[in-house]
Amino acid sequence: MIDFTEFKDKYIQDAALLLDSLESDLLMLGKNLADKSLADNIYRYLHTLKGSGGMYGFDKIVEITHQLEHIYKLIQEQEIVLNQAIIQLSISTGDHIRNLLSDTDLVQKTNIENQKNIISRIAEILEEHQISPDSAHHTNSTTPDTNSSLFEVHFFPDENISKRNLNLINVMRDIFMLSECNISLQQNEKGEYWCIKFLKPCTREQVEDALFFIVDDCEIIDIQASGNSKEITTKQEELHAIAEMPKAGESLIINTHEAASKSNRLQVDISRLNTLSFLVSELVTSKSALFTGIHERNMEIISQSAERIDKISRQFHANVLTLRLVPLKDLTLKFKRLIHDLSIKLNKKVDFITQGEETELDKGIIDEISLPIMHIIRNCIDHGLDTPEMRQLQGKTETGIIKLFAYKSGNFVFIQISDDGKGIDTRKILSKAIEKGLIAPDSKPTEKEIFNMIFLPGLSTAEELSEISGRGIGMDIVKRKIQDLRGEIYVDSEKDLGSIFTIKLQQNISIIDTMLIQCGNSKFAIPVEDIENFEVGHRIDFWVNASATFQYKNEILPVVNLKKFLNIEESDNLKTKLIIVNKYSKRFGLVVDRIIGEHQAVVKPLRKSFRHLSYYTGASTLGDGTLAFLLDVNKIGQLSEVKQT
Amino acid sequence: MKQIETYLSFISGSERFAVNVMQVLEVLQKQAVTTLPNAPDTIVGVINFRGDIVPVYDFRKVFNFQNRTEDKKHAILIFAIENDDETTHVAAATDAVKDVLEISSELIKPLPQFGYHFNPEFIKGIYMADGLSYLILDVNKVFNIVEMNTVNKYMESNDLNTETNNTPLI
Repeated sequence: MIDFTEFKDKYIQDAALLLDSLESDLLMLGKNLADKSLADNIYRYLHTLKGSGGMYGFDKIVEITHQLEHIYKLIQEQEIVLNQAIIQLSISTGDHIRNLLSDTDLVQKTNIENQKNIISRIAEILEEHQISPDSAHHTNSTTPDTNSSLFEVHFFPDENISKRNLNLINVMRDIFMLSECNISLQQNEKGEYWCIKFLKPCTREQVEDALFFIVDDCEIIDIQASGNSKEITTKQEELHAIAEMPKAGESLIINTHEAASKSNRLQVDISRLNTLSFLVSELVTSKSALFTGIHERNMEIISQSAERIDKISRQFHANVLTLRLVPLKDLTLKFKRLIHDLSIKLNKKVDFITQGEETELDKGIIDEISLPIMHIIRNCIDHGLDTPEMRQLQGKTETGIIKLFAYKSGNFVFIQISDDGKGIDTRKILSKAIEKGLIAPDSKPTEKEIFNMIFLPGLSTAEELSEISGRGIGMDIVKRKIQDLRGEIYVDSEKDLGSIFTIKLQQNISIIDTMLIQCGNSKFAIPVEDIENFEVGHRIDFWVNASATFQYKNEILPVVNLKKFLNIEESDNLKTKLIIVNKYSKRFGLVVDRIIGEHQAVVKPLRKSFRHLSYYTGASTLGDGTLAFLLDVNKIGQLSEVKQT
Repeated sequence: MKQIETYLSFISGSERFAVNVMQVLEVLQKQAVTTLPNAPDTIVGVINFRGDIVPVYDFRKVFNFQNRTEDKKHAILIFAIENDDETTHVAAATDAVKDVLEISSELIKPLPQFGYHFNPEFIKGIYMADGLSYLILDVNKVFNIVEMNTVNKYMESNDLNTETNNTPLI
């Protein structure tokens, strides 16, 4: 018994990719309405979605793509002229289909609404052009081959289909290009199968060609020949079966897929996989050599193999990390879509330029950085760019520019988002900051300091709080998110020229350079970037409540006794080691038993059940198999502060 | 409907338990457990299991056994726990792992009303054979409840406002 849910899951993923292509082409088509090949693409995507949707019971998807592809067919036949309204409707339909993929039985109210609305909008458009919605697609008037007949194919998929990584959507596409089909899931004594009824007469060769990749798993039955007068539902009947179309007038509930849709799949460069295979074979060879050496008690061979294995391990490590790298390009569709939607909503003309999209980041980081970047783009369009009229008055081009520039430098990746708008208004920011009590009224901050104030929570200088960027909660959360990824964000701006946001990120988050320390019998790791200095040999007296201070560079710093903090048993260790840590510009001292040395930590996360131990950010395996725990010094500082009060 | 299922038995404190073999992923005999400072009482430490950091619970502390024997070298059982469509790995330290038993479902009797000093929700029933009684453990329930309790206990005892404002010094 084949598990059809596995096929269905794969279909949903493949359909999502198809919808991405659909959206991308629609955005391009929107900028160039006359492009025939793009319009053809759209028709093909819709056609494929329709056919394959039927296979997995997505009747609503079938219904709606059927309607929309009709319009594109008419565009191809030049009975309808493509316009922005149709493009916008198509984009919304794409969104709706995405929602339908997760709501097969159409339970969600918004989906039911949208289904009705989109269908009625399509009917409107057809009415405008005086085309009745019931007119079937023209069946090709080519006289059928004398060899042609009506076929029915019974497709019995077996486990090998998924093993062969066959993309069923593409297979179905070939079938649908040949003829319209009726697909249903059926069962007979041989098991479950898909019954594909061809509605157009074809020759057996044509059918076998279309079924090329799956022909071994199919039974091809000639209906007319076998004299089976099965009922073949015509296009007309299908259309009548579609639900009544309500009158127009309701606005579409547009759900953009803003929520970062994180998939668990990755596309990997073949060359990286080849390197991996090569390393595996090298490892196997070295391992054999090692065992030979052991068997023959030959120290030279043993140490040589050990060295070789060490080298290979390093290369493995580096290679596996590269497998997780994903180019920024994967996010650009989302950004393009956001800019498209915002420019309509805010009445601004925007061009989106990208440079360095091939720059790669760890998949984990890419997933998390998407929202912050979108928020920055939003900010730029909302607050930075002016309306086309204003821009003209200033002598600028009507269309504003948002530029995304990414590049790699050392172990870091820089992402710059810039606009050519009016720049950050320092006077406004300063007065708002003073008004909200975020800085003292008589302070004289530098321009740079004022720019950085936009990252303070609660700051918003929008005259009317635009529903897009909201109440200035945005930028400080953006900064926080970036810092959580161990990155940084800078901003620069010039009046009337524009602003530039620069995000600096590490290429991968899972490897951190740390300093290994010991307290009692437990080992801990502190990220090197959080450590400012070490002081050894001082005597630090802790007060009764375990607090202490230490003088460091003209500052009195608080000191935390890590053992006390973690409730580890004290031993009398007079020679304390003090680490001066510095995170988010807060400095304090940390007292430990022993500073062991540098350690490149491969960080593994701790369970959710340890979430309340917020000062642990993960664990790293040491050479001897034990674990060292990564510490979040900022959290330690925060918690120690509270303990004292 | 009579179902015969395979169970693994082990000893913790003075009680004998049995757990459905389908829920046991692995048995580790000589595994070093790293202590996690400040972890709740019920947790002995953590281990690195197949690339994942897995907490190791002490069954004796989970069931609150009064007579605690010396800390010997534990045998560690790795369980696969279902929690809202997610399968996570959890480990528990036991005193000794015993035999594999074939138990028919109709031979599992319900727990008596009282006489046990731990949460009866954890126990599916009792099985008796050869003069020994085995408590059939519902591992999913045990760890889901335990994890909830640990978090709740922490939340109660500490009213720390951990979300302090991170305004950077300009």
